[in-house]
Amino acid sequence: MLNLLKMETYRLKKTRSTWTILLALILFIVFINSAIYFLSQIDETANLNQQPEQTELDNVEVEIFVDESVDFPDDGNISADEYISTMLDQGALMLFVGIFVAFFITAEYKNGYIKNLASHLKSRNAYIFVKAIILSIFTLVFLVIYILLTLGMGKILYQNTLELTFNAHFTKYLLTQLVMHFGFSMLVMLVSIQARSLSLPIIYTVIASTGFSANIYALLSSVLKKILPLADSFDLGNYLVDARIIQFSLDQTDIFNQGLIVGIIFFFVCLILSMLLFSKRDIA
Amino acid sequence: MEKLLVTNKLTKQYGDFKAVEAVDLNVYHGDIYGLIGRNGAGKSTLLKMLSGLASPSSGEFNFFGLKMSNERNSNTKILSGRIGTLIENPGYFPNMSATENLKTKCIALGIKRKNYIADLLELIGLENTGNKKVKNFSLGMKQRLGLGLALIGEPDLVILDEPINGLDPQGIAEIRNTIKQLNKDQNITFIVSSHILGELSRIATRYGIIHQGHLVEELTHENLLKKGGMRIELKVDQPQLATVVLDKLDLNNYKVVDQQTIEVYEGFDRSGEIAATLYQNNIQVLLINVRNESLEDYYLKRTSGSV
Repeated sequence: MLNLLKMETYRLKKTRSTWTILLALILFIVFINSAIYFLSQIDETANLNQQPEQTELDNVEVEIFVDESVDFPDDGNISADEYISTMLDQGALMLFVGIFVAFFITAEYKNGYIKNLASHLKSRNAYIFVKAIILSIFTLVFLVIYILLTLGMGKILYQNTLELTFNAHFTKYLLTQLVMHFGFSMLVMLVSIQARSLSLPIIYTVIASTGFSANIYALLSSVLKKILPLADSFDLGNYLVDARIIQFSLDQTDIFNQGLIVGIIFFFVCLILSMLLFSKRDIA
Repeated sequence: MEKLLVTNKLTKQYGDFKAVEAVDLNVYHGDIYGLIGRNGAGKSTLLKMLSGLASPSSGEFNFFGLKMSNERNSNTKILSGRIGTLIENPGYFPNMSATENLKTKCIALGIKRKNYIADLLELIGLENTGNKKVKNFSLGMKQRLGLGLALIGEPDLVILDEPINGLDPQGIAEIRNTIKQLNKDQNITFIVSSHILGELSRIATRYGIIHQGHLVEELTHENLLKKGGMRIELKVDQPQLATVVLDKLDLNNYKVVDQQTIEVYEGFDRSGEIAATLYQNNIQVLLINVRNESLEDYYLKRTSGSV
């Protein structure tokens, strides 16, 4: 297993897509921070309602969540934890993690290199487990880059108005985000192994990171509530890691533990399913 | 001779379709086993099962005396690394060089020997590629890289599925010579599938003919020559005396077909010498002709009536 880990590390260093995705992440962070800053300087910034819009459609209640605008004070101080969490809650990290996972997992199928290794694998489960380790490491790396670069941009753009404050609450928030993104990376890995092509996991990642899947789950929840005796507050998205990430924010302290549990469950369930799928299926 | 691989009723079924059905294959240590069949006969499917890329639907096979079935078992671990494969198109990372592609697999197998990759590159004729990315290689170079990847770890058995497809004559000759050299120098056993029968007949020591998923026949190269391969057809007035002359010429692989005809299965470049020696011994030569019913002809003859 150690040799496989070394191989994957070597492969990633040499693969163009690794550096392309990292560069794209960096450029995105720079761009989005700059854009938000400059937009906030303009008087007529659109200020979308944070509250979910409700409507009735043929006796089915539909709740639609819309993005909140980023509205930092132009005087006074901004706390770093609020600044970072606002950037993190956009779903962008999910997008880059998902794209990276899709490329990483499907590359060996696409170029056929996996055929060179198949007859040498002592254990197919170990092969998938190594991939999970690599993906988890890279998810952490992506999160660290995201935080550090966001902080850096914040310092440059907002200068002395950005206060670097970190507390236990924020640490728990970051840990929950990390664990949920671990779970999401395993989910995308499962989709990639099942599909064996790039398009399906990429499409899913885009749908999930833009919040569209969260809206689908909300719609399904409404339907389920009509059929089953479920509480009014029931939302399928609370139990699915992609929607959980999108609907998660720093001030929702009551769902931190729920987010952690959903992330952990998705991590292990998707990992085990990936191992089963890879073990049973023909490689080529 | 020791058997390296034996399959027992090996079958692969996709839904209702049996791509490979009840194949009993025998490969001996040191063989270059030519697996012959038309497109869609089941060659690649059979080789994928032997390579571990696909699980058999039923049946089993023994590698090196160890039993393998459709469930991965402890024998899988033991066999890991003893088989090298090149199935269909070679798999490579296109934006890496040949060295980097080989190094990736070496790291996976824990091979750290100095000059290992350099020696392998020289063996497959890619020693001068430097940092050139594989996506810029010619087809022949990519095939050779695929062969190199299959050879990593000094496998006892190398499975090559259509290794000469798309190659020019020079590329074909290089692959052929490399296989023969490795078989002779390192005693590596090869299973080579191809539908280019002329090429296969130049290297294989044993053949398996597969048709519509069934193994129609297995035969050695010598048997193939006898059954329908190259031979000198000799018509003489005294065939019994002629056999004595052939023995004196150290030509022992022949068969008296009828009262005038002898088929000689060796010494194809000595037909002039044979004719002259027979004449010197007062044996009248009525006809001397080098016949070449090729492997292709034999294959078509065997498969035209189906199974």
